[in-house]
Order: sequence, then C-alpha cells, then structure tokens
Amino acid sequence: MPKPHYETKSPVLKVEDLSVAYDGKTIIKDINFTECDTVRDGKEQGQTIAFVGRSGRGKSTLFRALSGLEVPTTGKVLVADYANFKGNGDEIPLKAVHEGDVGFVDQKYTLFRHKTVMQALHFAMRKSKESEKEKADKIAAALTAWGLENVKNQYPNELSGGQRQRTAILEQLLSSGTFIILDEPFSGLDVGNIESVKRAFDLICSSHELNTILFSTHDIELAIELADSIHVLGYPSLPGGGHASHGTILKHFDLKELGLAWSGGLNGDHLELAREIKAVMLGS
Amino acid sequence: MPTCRRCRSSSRWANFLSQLRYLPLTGITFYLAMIVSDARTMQVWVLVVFMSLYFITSLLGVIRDIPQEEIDHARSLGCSRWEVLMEVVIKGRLDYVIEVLRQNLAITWMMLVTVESILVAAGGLGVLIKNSDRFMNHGRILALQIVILLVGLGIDQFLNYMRKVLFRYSRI
Ligand SMILES: Nc1ncnc2c1ncn2[C@@H]1O[C@H](COP(=O)(O)OP(=O)(O)OP(=O)(O)O)[C@@H](O)[C@H]1O
Ligand SMILES: [Mg+2]
Repeated sequence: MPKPHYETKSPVLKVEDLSVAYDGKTIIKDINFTECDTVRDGKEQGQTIAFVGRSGRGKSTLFRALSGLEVPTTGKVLVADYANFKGNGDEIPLKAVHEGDVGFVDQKYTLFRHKTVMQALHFAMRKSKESEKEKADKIAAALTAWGLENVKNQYPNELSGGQRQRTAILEQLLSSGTFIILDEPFSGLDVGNIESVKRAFDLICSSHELNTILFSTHDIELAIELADSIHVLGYPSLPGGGHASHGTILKHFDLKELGLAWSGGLNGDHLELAREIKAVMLGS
Repeated sequence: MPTCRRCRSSSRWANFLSQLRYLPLTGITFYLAMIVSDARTMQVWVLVVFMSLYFITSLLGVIRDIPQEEIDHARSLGCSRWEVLMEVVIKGRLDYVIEVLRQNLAITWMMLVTVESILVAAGGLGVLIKNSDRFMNHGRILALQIVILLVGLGIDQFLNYMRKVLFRYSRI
C-alpha cells in the first residue's frame, strides 16, 4: 500500500517535563511530547492521538493535566493559541493551557442534570461572539449531523448512553473549538455505538484541519485503526530491575511516518504493531 | 469542591449552625423567651429554629455529595467559580432542596405536637391531645391523631408531586 502523502506544520500541542503528584505521591512524571498540525493535499485532516496503557498508569491523570483541570506539579502544557493566530504561513503561537481551552469528556459522559440537550448546547456556546441566529443555526445543524434531533428537548436521565456521549462531545466541541479529549470513549459501548463514535471522530477530523482529538482506550486494535499517533504509558523499568511506581510515556508510534495511518482498516502491518504495543504494555 | 475563601468561611458557619441542632429543645425555648413573650410566636419560633438547623445539615450533605465529575464538567466548559456555584450547586440541586424540605417537614410535623404540649399557653393540637388524655377521651385522641396523620401525609405528597412536576429530570 502506498504511504499517504502528508506534511507536518507547526506544533498544536507541546508537553514539557510534565509531572503530576497527588498529596506528594507522584502519579506521572517526565512526560514530553509534541504533536503537530498535519496537512494532506485535497483533504481536511485533523489529528487523532491515542494513549494506551494498563490500568492505573495515569492516562486519566495526564488528561486532567492536558485539559487544564489539574495544575501540573512541574512542567507545562502548551496548546495552540488560535485567537492570536495571524493567518497562513505563520507559526501558530502557543500558550499555557487553561480550563475551558480544551474540551474534556470523562468516562461517565457527565452532563448538567438540569439542562436538556438543547439548553446544554446553548450554554456551551454562551461565550461565543456569534449572533443568536448564527448560534441557533449552528446548533440545529449539529443536532442533525449527530443524530440528536429527536431528543433535543430531553434531559440527560432521559437519554441513552450513546446519546449522552454524543451530547457530551458536541457540547465540548461547541464550547472549546479545536481540541477535544475523550477518556475511554469506547468503553461499555455496543458494536453499533462504537461505529457511531468512529463516525463522530471522522466528522470532527474532516471538519477542520486543526481539530485534534486525544483519546484513551484499552482496545489496541481500535487505537491503531483510528489514531495517527499512539503514546504508550507505563511504569518505567528501573536500572537495577523492577519498576518505578509512576507512569510515563514509554514509547511513541507515529503511524503517519510508519505509513499505517488513515488506512480505514487493519492489515498485517497493523496487527504486527498491535503485538509490539502489547509487548511494551505487558513489560510495564 | 472548588475552594475559595468565602466558600470556606460560609461552609464553616453552616457547619457551626448545623451542630446547634444538638441543643435540647427546652434550652432553645429558654433563649427564645428572652426575645419573644407571646406564646404562639414562641411556638412558631421554636419550630423555625429547629427546622432551619436540620435543613442546613441536610443541605450540607447534598453539597458534599456532588461528584467531582460534575464540577469538572462545568469547569471544562469554561465556567467561572460563580458559574459552577450557580449551575452545579444551586440550579443543579434545586430539586434536592424540595426533597430535603419534605424530609424536614416530616420531622417538624412530628415536633409540632410536642412543642405545643411544652408551651401549653397558646393551645393547639398538642394541648387538645393532652387534655383528652387527662379526661380519658380516647375517641378524641384517635380522631386527632388521624387528622394530624392525614394533614402530614397530604403535605408530603404535595411536595413530592411538586418536585416531579417542576423538575422533570429529578429522579431521587
Ligand atoms: N485524586 C486522586 N488522589 C490520589 N491518587 C489518585 C487520584 N486520582 C488518581 N490517583 C491515582 O493515580 C494513579 C493513576 O490513575 P489514573 O486514573 O490516571 O489511571 P488510568 O491510567 O486512567 O487507569 P484506568 O485505565 O484504570 O482508567 C492510580 O494509582 C490512582 O490510584
Ligand atoms: Mg482512566
């Protein structure tokens, strides 16, 4: 299979020397990585970045830091500052992340329990400078695209799990724009729901070149199928044998570079990569 | 809970008030007697004071039980501290307030009769029951108790109904 042509432009997310400790106990440490805007000819191409790792290795903790909900103990998280972006050609400026800059959907798809889908989406857009008419149009279009038209006047307790999840994603997209973090968006979903989340990923990625999805999953094959970049979190091995008790990024796979990204299915090379990733995880 | 200095000091106040519910009933009437002299007003005040203390206690419990996820969800949508307070704590828990009120009214309703029989001067159902007891009028005691029970249940059902009508999302 020919390797799809792409170019990487300026960084959209940069994490430097990040660590998070709770009550003096280090949970994650020495996290460093940079993700860049990817450009493909004739196609809007966002970024899809997966984080995998065994339970308790700090995926959720990392996500809380990336979304600005948790203040890092050391280091920093820098995200693209599109508000101060002059336009084409220029490097996108970076700024320290602040809560609200990055959309975050937790594993339980938490919503406001007292707002209907419609009210929640309007609330998510409360700070947008568009006119009421434009907001209403945008929300109406989104409701149709995400299959929530029929339930727009229902409260969270009247929605199915899949509908709740889509509402939670949509709400974050309307509120924070380009970045969205999803903590285990595939857990507890049936095959049909998994397909619809995959479609949602497609929808997000193809709607704007700068859109960036970060997600975690325990399904390695799914991560390989969807992501163009995979980070493996685990406990690092100590020189004298044994493992440290804090998580860090053990390995990074750039699927674009490997020619495995955007292939719309799994072939032998993908499965080989899955084996490699699982081996790294088991050894941590 | 997101902690700001004002939230913390007001929650300390609430905790203090909540602890006052352990003051004995007769103790409270003693302090109130220094402020009000009319027996009827006195009865009402004893009930109000008691009910408020229990009410604050229950509300503190409701707030403590708000899951961190709900607060983080609001924060991830760019809510300021005040918006979190407004959306998650106040609007998001309004239905619990009615529920708490209902539970507290049940206690107060039970206390009503007791308070009336402590402060006999103003009369009331409690006094009626006490007097009937003294004159061995068992039929009347039973009748009075049924009346009290029915009115109490009526208030309870009404509040429960109102909660469900006003807050469609409310499943407690
Ligand atoms: N608020 C907290 N206070 C103290 N320790 C915490 C807190 N939250 C998480 N931890 C600890 O941090 C470690 C990493 O937890 P985290 O939830 O980030 O793991 P995870 O990789 O998301 O796991 P899973 O795959 O099971 O979701 C765990 O050992 C957990 O006990
Ligand atoms: Mg987790």
